[in-house]
Amino acid sequence: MTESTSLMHVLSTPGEPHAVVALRGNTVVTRQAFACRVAAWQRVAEQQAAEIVGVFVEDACEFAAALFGLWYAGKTALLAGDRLPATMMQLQERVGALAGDFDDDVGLPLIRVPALDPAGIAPTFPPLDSSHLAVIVLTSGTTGAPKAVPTSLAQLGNEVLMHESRWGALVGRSTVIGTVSHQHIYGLLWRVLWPLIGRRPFVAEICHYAEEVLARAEQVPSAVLVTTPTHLARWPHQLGETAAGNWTLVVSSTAPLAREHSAFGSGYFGVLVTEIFGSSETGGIAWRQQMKDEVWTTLDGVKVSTQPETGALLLQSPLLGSDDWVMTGDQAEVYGPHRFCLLGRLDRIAKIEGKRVSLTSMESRLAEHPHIEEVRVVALSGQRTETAVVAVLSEAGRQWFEVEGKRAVTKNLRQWLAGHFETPVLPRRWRLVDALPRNAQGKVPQQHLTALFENAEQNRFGSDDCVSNRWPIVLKRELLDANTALLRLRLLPELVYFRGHFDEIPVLPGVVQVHWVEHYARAMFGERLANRHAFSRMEVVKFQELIRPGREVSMEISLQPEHSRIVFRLHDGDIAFSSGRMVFDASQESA
Amino acid sequence: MNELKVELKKLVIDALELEDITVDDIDSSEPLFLDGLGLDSIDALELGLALQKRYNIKLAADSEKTRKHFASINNLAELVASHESARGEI
Repeated sequence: MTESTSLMHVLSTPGEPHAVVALRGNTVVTRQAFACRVAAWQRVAEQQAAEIVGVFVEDACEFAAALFGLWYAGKTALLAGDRLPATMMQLQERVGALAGDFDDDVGLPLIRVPALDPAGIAPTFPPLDSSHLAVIVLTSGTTGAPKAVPTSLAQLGNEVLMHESRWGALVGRSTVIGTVSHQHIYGLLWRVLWPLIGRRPFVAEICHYAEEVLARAEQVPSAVLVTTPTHLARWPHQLGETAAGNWTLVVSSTAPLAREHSAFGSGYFGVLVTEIFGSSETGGIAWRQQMKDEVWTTLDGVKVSTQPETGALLLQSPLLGSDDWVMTGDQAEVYGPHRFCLLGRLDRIAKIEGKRVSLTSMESRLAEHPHIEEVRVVALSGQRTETAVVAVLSEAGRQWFEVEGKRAVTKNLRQWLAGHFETPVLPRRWRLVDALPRNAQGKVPQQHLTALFENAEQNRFGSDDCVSNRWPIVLKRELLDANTALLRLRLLPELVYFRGHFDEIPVLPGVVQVHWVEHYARAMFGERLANRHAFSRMEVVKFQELIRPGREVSMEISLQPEHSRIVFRLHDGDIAFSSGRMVFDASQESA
Repeated sequence: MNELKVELKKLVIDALELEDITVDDIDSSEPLFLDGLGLDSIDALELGLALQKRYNIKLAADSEKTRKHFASINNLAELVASHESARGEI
């Protein structure tokens, strides 16, 4: 068990002055150096009258020093998730000063990053007051307007202590490496505050790419990764490869992780991926390690229930500072006070690659544009989760469209949104229609809107290398000789063919297997295969073993031109799933 | 080199599932991210993955370098070409 300390006592508890607080580039920040930075920030912060200060500091260690400096100066930090014009307007309304990496001309008093004082002596700090209003974060409210969520030091402290009591002993002094920004609550808690109370070093720079993460991990005895489904889903790796470094914990949050990516991460890092479910408003709620148990388990002291009418997840949490049940915007199936499954959002807040976005607010912003007559925004999930727009153009918009074309219109609208939304949530697919698809009641049903994007998805998914819900992932494909092709396929559980076939045991239908064989035969042998119209019959088709979701299979296809047929076999080592022949009638070829 | 650039443009469009855009719409020197083609941080991850799959290129553990390589089709083409020639020498 490593010693840990409460958040209020991080600086007041005596400690080894040369202990490492953070790693920055090739240097380290010691406890003593960190305390000096806190003192420097406290001094500059005390010169400002403002009580609430907007903070943006790119370096996580300097950010932590700024935060503690502001707290010791009696200030509250409003975390700016980004520096978009719309965010800056929000800050203007809510803060009296800004601190950190901001431009000079923002129209608010600016607390600059204080100069380094190499001769500085770290003062002794008293404990912080737990009732102090520590942090305010802005998040998308259901109405579309950003909502300010205030959090006290006690709440932040209790949450990191909750995580420390569960995982602290397991990870010991492992170095914490993150792919997420500390300017958001998840990164703040896991990349900065949790390492600080557990006295474990954290990497000051955000590691955007897998290569940076691994290079960091190789330099330290053991490491913790703080990441998201966005990163785990796109982690470059070879089949069966394992990560460099010695990993004691891999945490994923901001959105549920697909089972496939949880499986990958657990194998790759050699430690089960731990997911945390929570929100800015409620703090941490639950955790799970999908490879062991798909159901979410509440964090210590949290209880859940559902609202009978809506299925909304209700919770009681020590982090909320009262015994009241609080309703969330998530729909859930609850299996007892401590276990539940998530079913989706109840409101029009979408999670786009882990970022919360109000579809309502995006619609209202678009509707203000002179080119737009009527508009709906939907969330789609394919290769990535994304927003997509169905719009009816105004007269002005139509004229612009006729002269400049669709891309110019949509680019213009994207720019219109860009000051208000982070780039990853900006719409990537647009359908400009004459009228919104309405049903007999005059309503615009969600499925009619999403259906407008399905054709394109089908087209895209028709290309072989795409991850999709209609095709397997092609892990490998090669021609063994001129007439024999071998493919290695992975069948994601998300494949549409598993749905309802069957509810009890999902299996890949035989007809789909045959369809895929024909598809890949055409892809591999091209024109050497007979015209599709010349299809004659199937012969000796056998389906021996069931193909279940998540399975990998090898598909062997032999072309026998002399018989105008292909012979196929689906297997995995010794397990034979299916085999057969597909015969084409050469005499029909001209038809 | 020009063939490679066309191939890379196609790779960008396919790997990132871009709509309403063809190879001809992408200028080899225009920035791929933000103001240019408008790609984002998730696209950067996808692109890294696609480069690894197609050309077996591993990115440097240095986001500054990666940012430079990803700046435009021209830079990407240089990265791929230098990688290919390095492999050819072995």
